[in-house]
Amino acid sequence: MWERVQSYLINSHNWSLYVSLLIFTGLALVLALPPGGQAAVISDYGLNLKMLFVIVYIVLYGIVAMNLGQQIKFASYQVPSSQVRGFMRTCQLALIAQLGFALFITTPYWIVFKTISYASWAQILWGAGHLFIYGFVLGLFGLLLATLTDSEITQFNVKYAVFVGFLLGTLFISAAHPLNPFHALSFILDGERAGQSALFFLEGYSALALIGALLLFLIRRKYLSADRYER
Amino acid sequence: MICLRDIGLSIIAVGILSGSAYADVQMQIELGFNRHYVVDSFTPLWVQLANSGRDGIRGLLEISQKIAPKEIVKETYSWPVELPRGSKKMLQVNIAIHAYTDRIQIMLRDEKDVTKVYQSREIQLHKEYMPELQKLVLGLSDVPFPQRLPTGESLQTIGVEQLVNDSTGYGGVRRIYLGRIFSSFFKGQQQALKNWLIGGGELVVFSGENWHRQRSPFLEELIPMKVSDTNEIDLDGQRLTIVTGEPQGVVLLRVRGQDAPILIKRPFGAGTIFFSTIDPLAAEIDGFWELLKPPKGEEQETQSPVEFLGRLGLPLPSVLKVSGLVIVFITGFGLLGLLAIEDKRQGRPLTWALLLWVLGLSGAAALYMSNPAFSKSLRSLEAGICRSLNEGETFCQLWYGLLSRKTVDLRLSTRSTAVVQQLLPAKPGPHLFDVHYAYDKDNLKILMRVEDRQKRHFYLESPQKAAVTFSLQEGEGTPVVKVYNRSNRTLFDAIFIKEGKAFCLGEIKMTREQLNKIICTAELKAQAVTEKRLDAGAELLNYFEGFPSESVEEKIKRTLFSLAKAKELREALLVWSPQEELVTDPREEKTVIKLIIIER
Repeated sequence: MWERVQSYLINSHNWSLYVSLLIFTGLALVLALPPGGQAAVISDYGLNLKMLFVIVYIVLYGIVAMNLGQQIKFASYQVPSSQVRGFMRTCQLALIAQLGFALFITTPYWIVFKTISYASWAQILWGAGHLFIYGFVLGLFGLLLATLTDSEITQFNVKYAVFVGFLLGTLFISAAHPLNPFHALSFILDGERAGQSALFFLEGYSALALIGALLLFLIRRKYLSADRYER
Repeated sequence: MICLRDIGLSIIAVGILSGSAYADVQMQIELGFNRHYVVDSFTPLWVQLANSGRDGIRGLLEISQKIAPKEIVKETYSWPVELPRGSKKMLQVNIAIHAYTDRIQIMLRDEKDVTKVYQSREIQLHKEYMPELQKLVLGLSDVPFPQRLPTGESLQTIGVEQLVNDSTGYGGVRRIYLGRIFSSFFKGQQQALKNWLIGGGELVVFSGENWHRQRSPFLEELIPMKVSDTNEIDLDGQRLTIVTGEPQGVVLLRVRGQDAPILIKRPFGAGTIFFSTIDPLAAEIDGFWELLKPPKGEEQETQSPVEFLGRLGLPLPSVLKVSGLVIVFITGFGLLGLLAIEDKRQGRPLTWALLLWVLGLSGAAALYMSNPAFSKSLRSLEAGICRSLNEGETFCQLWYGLLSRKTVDLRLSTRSTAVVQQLLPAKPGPHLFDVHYAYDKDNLKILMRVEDRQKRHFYLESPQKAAVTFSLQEGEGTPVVKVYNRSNRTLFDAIFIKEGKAFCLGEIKMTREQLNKIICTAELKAQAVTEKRLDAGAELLNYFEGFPSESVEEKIKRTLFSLAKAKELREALLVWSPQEELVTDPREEKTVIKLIIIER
């Protein structure tokens, strides 16, 4: 069991994804550090870079999640229809383990970010949990994309077009704000607003659950139809 | 500060209430001195309440500073008020009215049901009262005083009944001339005058032919002369009564060709008392008024500590150290990851090492970031001077600066005898800062929302019981100073000054209060360990300026030392205390620098 989990966690396919996540979010964290000095200088320092780390993290984690989802497909063989159910569960477990591991390896960054953002542990844990759910949905999308076509260039184009469209669309269309991770994280890290936004998060998590369920349904259907086609 | 006393005293209560929710409650108000108040200085506001109804009232007196025309309420104050059936009460509250305020609303509402308003009154400040930018000069006399003195000072003449009961009400008063006054002062008024003098006020006492009617133990304690008699003298062809005796201060003016002093001066805390042995309003005396002219540019001096509030250092995580941590972490992770992938093929999982590496670096990050200087969202400085005359009350002036690194709702607390005013920046911009001051029996709570990266500055005055006193045993050789520290903190860098000599006493540990008597342990005996002969004045200041570090804290110490005019002290104990006046919020990283001066 441990060896199987270990093979999900770190392998030659996802290792570069983890390192990329660490490098880019680490750079964003260093840039987000406020400069020291006298109180008068600090208070006049208008540009607030604290959220730079969160913004970069959201983008990078989304990309890593989609790539991890794609790699699960690459690692799998053709699945007979009788084993699709078990295979789907294995895929989900693998995705959960890898996304959790990606979050875990950035723990030192979140500790630094907690200090510079003056957020509470509850806010940081909630933020990480939200990122995990968002990543899981994007990972399922990556997996679906990989099952739809074997063309890597098509997958690349569709993946980033949908991802950018999703982030910008939900950012600017007010009805879709609950789905947007930038909005959600800024609410979560602003403790007071988070408490006043129960409806916002209810809408957001309901929508993500629906999208996730739809993606799982489509992936399963795709595997079943592929098996029939093979026969 | 709030003072309650029965309405037996007659005061000039002129504001008649307009409109009333409950006709059984009457409210009359008066503000400042003769309808004059000084902008951004503590001003007394008297509220006279009477309850002629059937039931007693437990209410809340609320005062709001407003800006027209939008009716924006900026700063509010509240005090609990109990008004039994058929009672009358006079409340004196001291508030600092800002330049932007043009209305003040005074409201008595029910303690529990806030919608139930017993009485309400609104003052149109600019129509009904005179705002002043310079501090006031008061003339205290039972007979008419001139409106303008030969010193060029405009005078507001008041009676004894208008004297406040606590010194903070004199926040906007620079000098008081005490003329022919035959009424006696109440004990509270006496202490308030003393505290105001200790804090830097100036009292000018005129005597002359009516001295025998004016004299009182209180005045005799204050004036810089041991009075023995009164005589008649000829002064430039004028026949005058002069008070004679032994001068106890610096004689500024004498009768020409004679030894008899006319004007004597002595310091009293940070303040000054002048005593005129004649009545200068009854005769013309060459050079007399020149000596009483205030030096120019004196007014701005008390605001200077605000500058150092903004200079306070703000510790933040080192970019270099965090960058180093990130680089080491990524490098280690990369290498261990590669090894783990390689070793997995050989059946030796190294994933554990990878997990341990992440946990280890997380621990290192947590250790570095747990420094309260980084992790607390509020950085503040409390700096001030507490001054006393080796007995009775201490008068404390404090400046409190706060910088928030995130938006927080803050509730600061201090003793209920304190008064606090917000010092607005020179350019407050469109957002004038809101704050609510809520008094209860024991505490004053200051409630506000501090925005992200917002600076807040406050000035606080607090008369309180002296916690540090000393006694001096003089004999041959080095004097022995016994210091009694009844505060709950150890005091640092104590120095005893006597006639230009400074004796370093070092650390003064706290006395155990439960012994309930003066104890003198070996530590408290504080025998002078270092003697340094210094001339009062520049050399002594240089001694203090010789603090080894050039840190912001040391600069603040020098500013306080300079503000306290410590170089002019003749016999005093100076000591630094880390004891705060405002209770520190758990989210706050505070530096406390307080200079305690006990004079004799």
